[in-house]
Amino acid sequence: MIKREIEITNKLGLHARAAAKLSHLANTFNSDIFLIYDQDKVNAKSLLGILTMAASIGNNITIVAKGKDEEKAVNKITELFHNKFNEEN
Amino acid sequence: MKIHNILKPELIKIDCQRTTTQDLLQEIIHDLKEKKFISNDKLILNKLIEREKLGSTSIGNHSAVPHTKVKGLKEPLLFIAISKGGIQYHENDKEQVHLIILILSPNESPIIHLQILAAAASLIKKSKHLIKEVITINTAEELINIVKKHETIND
Repeated sequence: MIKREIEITNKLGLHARAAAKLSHLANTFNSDIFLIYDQDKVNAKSLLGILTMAASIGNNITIVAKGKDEEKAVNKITELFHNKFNEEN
Repeated sequence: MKIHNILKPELIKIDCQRTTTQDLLQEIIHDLKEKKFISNDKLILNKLIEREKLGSTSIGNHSAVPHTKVKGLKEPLLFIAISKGGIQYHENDKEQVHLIILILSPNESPIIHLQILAAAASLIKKSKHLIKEVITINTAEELINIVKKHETIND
């Protein structure tokens, strides 16, 4: 199992389009992937789940992945956050 | 934040007959303009349609949350439309959409927008029976009561 904490840096936070990109990416891995924010733990493969977090800029989220491709999954998801969901230049 | 606290009976359409997403959005925006909740209807409609092109706002459980930010809006506006017959909201959708929660948020408040989106997602996510109930209602007040019921269970 891998855990990694990451800060949300895109202006709009985990809004619908960012959440859709995130769940779409998470679904490309076999590992179970969860996001923990505040008191919430949601399935990273569930768009609805991600949206319920209302996580915004400056918030820290912990990514937890467990499975054969857990390392790749956490790295790729981290990259998506770092790239601000490819919505800002 | 809870959806039922923001809903207004006059901003609920309980049996929308439109069969395409564009017609449906157009009808809602027209209604909001008629009721003087918005003035720049054409711009808002265009933004909603453009947003759908970037990726559908249908988010599962037979529901969609079309949304955009509106300059000059003082507080968030919600409009709920029920399509009892169902609508093919996006060409890639595997299921028909029955519940449409349209969200217009003030341009300046991304956090409020996220909170409303989260409230809508929570409602849609936790209530598998919600859709079965909403397609049987006959009045806006009934819808508000159903939303309230689902938003207050398990709290």
